Amino acid sequence: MNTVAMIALFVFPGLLFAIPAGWLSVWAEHKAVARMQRRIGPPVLQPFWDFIKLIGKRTPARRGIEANLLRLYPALSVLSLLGALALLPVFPQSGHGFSGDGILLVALLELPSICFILAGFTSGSLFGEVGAVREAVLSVANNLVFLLAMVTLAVTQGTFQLAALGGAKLNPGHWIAVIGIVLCIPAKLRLNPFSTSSAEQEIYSGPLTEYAGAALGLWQMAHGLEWIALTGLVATLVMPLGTPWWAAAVLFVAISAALVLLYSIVAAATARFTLERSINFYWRWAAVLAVLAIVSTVCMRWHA
Amino acid sequence: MNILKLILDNLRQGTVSYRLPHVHECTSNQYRGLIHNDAERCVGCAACAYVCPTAAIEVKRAGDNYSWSYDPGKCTFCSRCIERCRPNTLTMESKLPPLYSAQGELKTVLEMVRKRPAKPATPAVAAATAVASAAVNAAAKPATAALAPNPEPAK
Repeated sequence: MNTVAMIALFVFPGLLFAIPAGWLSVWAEHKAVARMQRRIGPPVLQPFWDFIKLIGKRTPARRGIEANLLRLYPALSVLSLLGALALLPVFPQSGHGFSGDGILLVALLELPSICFILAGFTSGSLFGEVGAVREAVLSVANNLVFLLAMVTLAVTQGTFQLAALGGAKLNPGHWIAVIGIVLCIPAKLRLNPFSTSSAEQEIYSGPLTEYAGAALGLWQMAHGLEWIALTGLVATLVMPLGTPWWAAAVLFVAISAALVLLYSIVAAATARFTLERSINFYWRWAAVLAVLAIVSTVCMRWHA
Repeated sequence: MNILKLILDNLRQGTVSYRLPHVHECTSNQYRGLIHNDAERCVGCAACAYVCPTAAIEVKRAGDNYSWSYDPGKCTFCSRCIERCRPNTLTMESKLPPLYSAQGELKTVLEMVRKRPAKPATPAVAAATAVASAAVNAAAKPATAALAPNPEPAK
């Protein structure tokens, strides 16, 4: 592993940056929604103190393989998201990526959702199982659009290398694909209106119902990292080419923050969709957008 | 798009919630706050403990001594105790209860001596008492008459 990759994994946009930035994103979303509902909202260090509190809690003892699996899933989610963050081409000139790293990124971004589903089934809770089923169905719905968008980006550049994916700014298919990814992110983050799988009032947070203490703290950390990884992916795709490293870092943070604000507004302005309506949204409307993106891109390539 | 207008209005109008523990919110006169017991007037009938649905009020007796305790952590502020208190010694505060961090921190315990009401006399005792008092009055009457000024003649 070279120095650039080490920095990406452990410093920026990896461990050292992503964990506090993830907590900050979670806080910003809670605060923005609170202000839009005329509440004062949490203080800035609330997610950090929540994590510290959860780490220090004693949890009910579970035995057997079930207990180990329930501890494994959040840890695996955190590790996969840190890996995804390390792959993000914030500084495309550094050249730390490799051919096909886009496919690995998609897999690493999907792993937390799979862990979330498995955690729901493993917990043995009725609410956990209902949440897991909802998450699985929603995952199939939004991943159709997400994968089509990623394929569109790959087709525009003829490669799955992440550093090259943001290069086709003049192609309309690129921007349609980015919009497709932006539409998928609320479902991946389980935000309103696509929060059926973790509905607090209906199914007590679904798969996380049986979680407490350090494992729940890790899930919350994974959620913060998901914010950074997904908004960061959009930031790297829309960032202008040839940006100096310091400007790239500032733009990365600024675009991520703007997306946090956008999703907060959407979360505050919408009620929770039913599962059927969520599927309809992705398969009927967002999928049309994604198909349009890939068709236009293929046509442009064929024409060229 | 009404929801966006609503959100904008909310942002413009500011927050209605307060950051704890700096709460100085006014309450109405009918606000159901913490319960206070006037120990001077309480007779220890325990009617309040009897009607309390959550056992927030407890009365423990030991002879004529009794302890009256109230735990706001259990109280639902239903005010049934206030309604049933015959001597009207219980009152409710009209301000917000203070914040507390430990269980039972606001618990109040009053140690009191039961004030027994004067028993009404039984008929036999009452008759004997009446005879005795009549005798005493008769014996005292001449002296009283001597001391008393002459009554005014009838007009």
